[in-house]
Amino acid sequence: MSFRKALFMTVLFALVLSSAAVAIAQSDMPQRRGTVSGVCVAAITSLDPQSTQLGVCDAVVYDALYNQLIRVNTAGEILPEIAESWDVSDDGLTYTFHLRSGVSFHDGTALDAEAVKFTIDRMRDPESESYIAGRLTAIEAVNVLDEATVEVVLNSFNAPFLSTLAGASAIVSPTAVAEYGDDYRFNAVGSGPFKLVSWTPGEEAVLERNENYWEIGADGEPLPYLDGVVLTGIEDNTVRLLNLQSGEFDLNERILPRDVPTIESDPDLSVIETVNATAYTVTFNVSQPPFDDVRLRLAVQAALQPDALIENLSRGIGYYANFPFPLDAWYWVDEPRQVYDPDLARQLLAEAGYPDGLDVIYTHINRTVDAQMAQIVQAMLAQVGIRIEIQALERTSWLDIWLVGAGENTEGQMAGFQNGVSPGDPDGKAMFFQPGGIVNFADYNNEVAWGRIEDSRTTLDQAERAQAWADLVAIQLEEAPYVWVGNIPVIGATRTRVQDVTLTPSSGWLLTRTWVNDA
Amino acid sequence: MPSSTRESATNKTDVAASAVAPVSQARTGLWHRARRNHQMLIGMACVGTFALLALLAPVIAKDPTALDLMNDLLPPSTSAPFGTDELGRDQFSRIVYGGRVSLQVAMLAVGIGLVFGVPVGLIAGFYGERIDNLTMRIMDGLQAFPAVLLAIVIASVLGSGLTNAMIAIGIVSIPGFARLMRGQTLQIKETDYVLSARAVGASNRHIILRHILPNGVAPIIVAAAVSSAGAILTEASLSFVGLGARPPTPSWGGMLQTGYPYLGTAIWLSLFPGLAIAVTTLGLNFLGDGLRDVLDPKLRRGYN
Repeated sequence: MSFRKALFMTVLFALVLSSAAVAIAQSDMPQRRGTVSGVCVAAITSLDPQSTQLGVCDAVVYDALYNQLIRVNTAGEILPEIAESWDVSDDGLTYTFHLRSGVSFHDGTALDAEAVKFTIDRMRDPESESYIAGRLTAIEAVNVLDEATVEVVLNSFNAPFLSTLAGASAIVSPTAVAEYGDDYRFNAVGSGPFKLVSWTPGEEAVLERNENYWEIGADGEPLPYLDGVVLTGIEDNTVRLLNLQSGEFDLNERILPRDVPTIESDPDLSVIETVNATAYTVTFNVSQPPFDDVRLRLAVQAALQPDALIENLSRGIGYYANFPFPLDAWYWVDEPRQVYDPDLARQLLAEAGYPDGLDVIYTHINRTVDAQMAQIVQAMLAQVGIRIEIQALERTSWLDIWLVGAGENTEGQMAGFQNGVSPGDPDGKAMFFQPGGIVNFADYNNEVAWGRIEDSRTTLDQAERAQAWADLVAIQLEEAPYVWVGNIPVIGATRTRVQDVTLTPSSGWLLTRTWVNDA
Repeated sequence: MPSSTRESATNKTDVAASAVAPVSQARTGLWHRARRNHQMLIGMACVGTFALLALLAPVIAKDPTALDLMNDLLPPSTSAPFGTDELGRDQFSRIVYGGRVSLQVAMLAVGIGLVFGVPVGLIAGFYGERIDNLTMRIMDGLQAFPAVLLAIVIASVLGSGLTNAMIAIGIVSIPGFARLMRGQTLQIKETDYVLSARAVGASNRHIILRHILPNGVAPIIVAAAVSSAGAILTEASLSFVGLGARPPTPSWGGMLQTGYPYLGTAIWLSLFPGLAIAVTTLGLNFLGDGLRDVLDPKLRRGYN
């Protein structure tokens, strides 16, 4: 018996050893060749990282073309990049960044303290298009101490400052911005692992390797391993999937939950689980009738059954969320939750002067899941007498109505939309509540709610910050400018030949160390 | 037709009776010939089946908009013969009610085409010259655009919705009818019976309504059947791009649109609406072809 056991163990040991040897042989040195093509849900809107950043492809292009001052990984940790290290003063108001030396932009100019100051000032300029300016109002001044040291002085304590900066601090070449002016968004010049070959709006962006990149690969040569990258955006899930299967694309930002079995059954493809999730949301134009009446918004909220809705949309992998926060984040808010109460909904409708029901227009971007959600919402609301007319619009038409609030646009009464959950820091969702903010779709201006967001920025105590956001969640369940239906984890897919793709918190890809295994 | 000429010379009221004679002659044994025309019978069966299903929809189908989120994407079974869709709605009921939409579209769109196209063609063909030139250039302009593209443009100007889609498809079908009717008019207005009617002093109105229209109508009926098939296809295309029937109204094109992402996993979502469109349009085309054979006196001998 013991002999058999010993024999068994020996054979097992030998097997383990040999498989380990095979594994080592396979995880060869990365090969320096090949091009990777990636496809995202939304088209690239700009190559200027200090303008809009609405789609994941934008973020992927920025990560390929630019370096950031600091970076946040999927675990929410802040990592050095151009800033090798930083010091924070005891009062939390002064951040001193020590920069990496010897980094230059694609146009040959040096990435120094002046360029960093130029970029941060550009990011926070309230007059600019910068989508992040509203979250950087705490910056008082940016000072160049010497060629390799930048000091950022805040006017008030700002807890999410580093994480805000890490989410969007791609450093641009001041020379190129001055040269191209308004056309800079077509002529990006950064210091990233890839440089721009061509980009036409609505089409693909073609990038090639930056021969003078500063990071060093496993073979002792400068990164990246790839010769080039091609990135494009296609909204149609089926088209993206088919093109991934046919080999047209190597990376697909997003597949629908129902397509997971298809990917898993294909040996050439693998599923990527990201830390990101998509939140599905219903919103109202709270500045105009009928939804300026809080009772009607609450009636809608009470008439929805988010669990059934999200279960159907996600084929079981999604979950109800009272706010677009990731389920396991330190700032996740468990209570209060939306309560399904059709009687209350009818009663609120009657009180608001609509005992016979209410007719409203509901707009959404014409995408599979949005359309599916619209019909479910329609059927659920019909139960209490709210009849919605669904209008499926192109993305740009929808944004035309809802950006900075719908105002007096008669089509802007009620809408459904998707948005990313906020990995890393709750402050990513502040923009939905910022008075006058570009993505404050509801046009919701509540000083108390906004005050709590500001409170959460001025304390370092995590529990206090979480409490401030919990208060906001409670306020907005009482006022329902947005009805958050639930979150569905983002799942991507890749061709198995593509190795070492680093995922970013926004479910994009960092391709610096990516290589292609064609063996 | 010497006899009619002689008679009409004596009595004006007889002109009409004798002049429509070619029509009544052509219709002799119509049913007899139709029965022997297999293509037409198949066409009638296809179209009749869907028309009957559409008529009986409230009796044979469930509520096509009732969601059942727990029973989504079920394959065909006895309780749901065509399966259920992504929202758990009964696919069979949606096909049946979608048939109502399709047939409604076919009738209204072709109706618009007839109501505007036929008079335009009659007037253009009959009066000729500048009126002809002007109206036909407008029709050429309309026809210069691909039908679906033009329908998309009109529907997006009018806004999405079934009524607007029907109007758009109707407008697109006007030039076809106008051209056909004009051709017929040009041909018929040179016939002996028209010339003789004119000789006895019949008014233009009388000639158009009593002679040209009844004698030129056979190809129009054929064209109407074929156009109905086109209208159903165009409506399906419009619904596919989101400009047709608004959800939750079931329409075959809309069902295809929500179904095609599931081609790999739930093929019944696109298979059944696709089949419904194919069978109906094929049936209408057969019906049209059959009608042409049956109504055209020149081809009569081949079937007798």
